[in-house]
Amino acid sequence: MSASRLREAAGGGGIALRLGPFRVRLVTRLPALLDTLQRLYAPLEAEIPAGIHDFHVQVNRPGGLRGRWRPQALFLLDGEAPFEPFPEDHAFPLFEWGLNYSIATRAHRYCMLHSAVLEKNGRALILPAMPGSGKSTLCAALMHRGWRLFSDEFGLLRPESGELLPMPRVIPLKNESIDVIRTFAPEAVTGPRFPKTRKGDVVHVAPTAESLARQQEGAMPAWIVFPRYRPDVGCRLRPVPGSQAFVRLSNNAFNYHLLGETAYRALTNLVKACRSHDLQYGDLEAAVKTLDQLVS
Amino acid sequence: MSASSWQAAAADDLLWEAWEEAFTVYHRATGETHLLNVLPVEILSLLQERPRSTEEIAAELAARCEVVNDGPWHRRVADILEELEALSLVEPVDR
Repeated sequence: MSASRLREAAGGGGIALRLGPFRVRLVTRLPALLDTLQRLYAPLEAEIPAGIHDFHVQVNRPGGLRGRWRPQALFLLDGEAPFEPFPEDHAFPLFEWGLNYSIATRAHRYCMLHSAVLEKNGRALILPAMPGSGKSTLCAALMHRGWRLFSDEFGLLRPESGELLPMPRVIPLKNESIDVIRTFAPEAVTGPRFPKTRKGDVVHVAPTAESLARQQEGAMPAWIVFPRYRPDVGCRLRPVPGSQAFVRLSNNAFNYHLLGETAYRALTNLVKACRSHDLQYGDLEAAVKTLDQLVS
Repeated sequence: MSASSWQAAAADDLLWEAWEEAFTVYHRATGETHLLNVLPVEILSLLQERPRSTEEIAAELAARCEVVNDGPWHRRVADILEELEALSLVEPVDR
């Protein structure tokens, strides 16, 4: 779809975006948002909406006087606004955060881990998000060393099969991590810098072409690694007992309590099928090498 | 609380999983998951056979674990029973 056709469609009936197992219908009249989407999800597989969509999203200027002197962007999910408007020039991070919110609050046919997931040699690595983990930085680094990105944010676990499903999206890097990845992987495709978001300065890293092209290919989980960034540590990998890994993962899942017994069984099977480790790292190259050795 | 006797949650409501060093149990009645070590699991196992008093549990487990059934042991068992009651995994009954 050409850029002009994309704008016309997005501002009218909307465009349909395929994100792993989800179909998102997006209506927007904000050209900068479309430009960033095209850059970071290239080739952007946008279609004229047809059939059923999981999420109906709009990102547009809200009505009212305030928007006239300070342009804003409002995220709507099924016509409802879950957040206050953002400055219009932050429409892309608003779209990404809004989509995360939409998935986390609605996609309950999956057990959703708050984790990065990557794949190598047909098997998946889970990197749960813990405070201070450096998960996104490590995830971006691994993606640029041959790992296929499933997600930086959602481990989508299909309870009935134990399979993890990809949903490759941009990886948001914050503050110091931005330059760390630019140095580590100069080839990384990045979007504009969004200063002073609620999480500080943010730059998004595009999924690799392979990650996008193979986004319908799931994988069975094989490793759970709890990363923790420690600047004073080179790299240290230690086994984690299964019961501890289970407790940490169940606390980390977005919808564990909602799914109840289904999630209990799914996470039990997941942990029993995986080797679990703690990874403390201060050196990104060493961490990548350690994880490559772990899975080889 | 001090109970004359205790009974365990219904066995059909508890989904057990044994790990190398501990146990997890999902309680269907509350929707909660608990991580338990061996002693509470042994207590629940005894109570699933039939209701027992704190004294009976302390005596049977002391023999099984080969420890002295003295005051500190009794208090330890009583404390665990209180914790299990707080988790709705056991409840007091009158026999």
